[in-house]
Amino acid sequence: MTELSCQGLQKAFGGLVVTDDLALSVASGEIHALIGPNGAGKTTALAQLSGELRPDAGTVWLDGADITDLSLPQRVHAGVARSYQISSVFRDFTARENVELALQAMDRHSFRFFRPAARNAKRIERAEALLDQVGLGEEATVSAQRLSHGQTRQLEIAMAMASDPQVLLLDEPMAGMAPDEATRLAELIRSLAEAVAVLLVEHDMDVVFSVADRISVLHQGSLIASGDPDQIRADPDVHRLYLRDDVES
Amino acid sequence: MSDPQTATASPTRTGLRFGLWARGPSRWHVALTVVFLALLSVAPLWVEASGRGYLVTVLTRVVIFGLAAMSLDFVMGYGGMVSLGHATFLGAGAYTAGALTYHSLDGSRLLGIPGTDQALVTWPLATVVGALLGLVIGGLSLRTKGVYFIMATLAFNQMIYFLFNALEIYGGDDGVGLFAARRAIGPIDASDDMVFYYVCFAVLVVFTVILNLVVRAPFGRVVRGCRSNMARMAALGYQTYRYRLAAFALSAAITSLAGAMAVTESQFLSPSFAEWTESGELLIMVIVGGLGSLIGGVIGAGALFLLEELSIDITDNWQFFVGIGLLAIVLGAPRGLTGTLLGGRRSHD
Repeated sequence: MTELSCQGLQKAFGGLVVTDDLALSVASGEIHALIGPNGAGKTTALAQLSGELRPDAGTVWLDGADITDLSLPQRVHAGVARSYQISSVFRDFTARENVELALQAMDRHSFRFFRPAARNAKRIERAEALLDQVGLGEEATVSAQRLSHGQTRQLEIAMAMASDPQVLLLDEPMAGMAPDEATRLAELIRSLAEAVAVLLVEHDMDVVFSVADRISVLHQGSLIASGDPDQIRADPDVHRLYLRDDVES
Repeated sequence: MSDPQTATASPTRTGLRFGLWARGPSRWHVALTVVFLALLSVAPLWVEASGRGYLVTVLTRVVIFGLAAMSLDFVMGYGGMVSLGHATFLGAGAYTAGALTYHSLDGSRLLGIPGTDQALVTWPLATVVGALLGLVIGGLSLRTKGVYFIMATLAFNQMIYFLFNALEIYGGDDGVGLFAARRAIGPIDASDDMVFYYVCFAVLVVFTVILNLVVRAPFGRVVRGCRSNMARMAALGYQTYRYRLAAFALSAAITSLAGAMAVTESQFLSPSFAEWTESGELLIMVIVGGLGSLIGGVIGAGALFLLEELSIDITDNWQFFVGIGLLAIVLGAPRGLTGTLLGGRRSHD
């Protein structure tokens, strides 16, 4: 049972406190959704968990080990992977090469200068398996810049899964997706969560309430509620601050 | 992955790109590289047969500066590191080889070691010096980004240039002639321009093969990934700085080798090798030839020297016509000559 957790996370940009005494945890087999209005500090919180941002104070643990001082690449190797809100796949590469590049990152090093990367049959096979898993099996040799928006999001997930992570941090994976695409991606995330701990930052409330096991609500950098979807739905504070439009109308 | 349909589909997809001449998208690029090198392999014979033997030395310079431009293209076109300081390494190579040659003529010692004009010693030594200097300059410059990286490389370029200017022993800013030196490459006596050309050409072929392998290898993929999205590379688990630094040092080493070859060719050592306009000229070669194609650097060097040679024949104000020619190329072939020849096909797998 893997668990990523943090305690007392604190981050300020100048005078603006974006993360205030934040405590979170996510365990394998679970989808934990982090929601909140724009500017609540969701992405900043995610960045501190992934290692892109150093918190001013607080601790991040992976399975009880303090990983606060590990850099982003080091945390990937420790088992924490993330995807991005704005798709950032490598547009010059094909879908499969994108995943191959993600797989290659798990080699001890890439100081290999002569053997063509395109001839690593084992890695190619593994990349194709990952593409199949996210439903991109047919697009393996398509250049990433020709993929549709939804396909690019799927590719993002395949790349994040390439490191065989224990914890997956997903930053708005459904952003800009058509409803049916979003539903399929939600099913995919649900299936991934059987083996992996998923922390999901998402705006689409339908998706969040249907897919999440646990929801935490962030407001101005601090948690105002945390619980299962029913508890969150019933929470008066959450209603006042955030869910008003979505639920009451 | 467990369903039978994909299990049968996989091997065909996987088999697509095996073998150098398989249907990979870069086969046109490989073909262009081979054709251009083949042209260079017969070019000196042709100019000599047509009674313009003096052009052999021009071709030699195309090969040498083409090698430097190719290695600049490696960091710029594949690594996304725009260096306006590659003349630093050209100069470092020239001064390493030139100084050793100078001391061998003079019979004096350089830091306690005797000089030599044996290229099998001076050229590899220049390559090593270039790599080390590349590690230092790249190590510091790569801590900056974008336009600051360009300025950092230029700043180091200026420092080195003025350092060479201050070396009174090698003639200061006038430089020093090394005309009495032999052009010995191992047992080969390369005093003859034609022989020397083919020695340089062989070096170019070797590094064209090496760099083409490197950009397709796992290392090259990481370097190319860093060009398009460094933050994402870190999020995949790559320590991007190390790979970019290694690429920069490799490029510096090859450029430094070209500098050593250039001083052996001209038999004249001067700070002009390290002048920042020389960095600019290498940039022009890469851009004219086509960014991210490797052979483009050599083609660009060919185009530039050809333009120079043609306009010198016509007028004293040749630089004006070189300018017009460059404008024509940049406007007519915005992706460089290779980009136009290949019609936007990918230059690597």
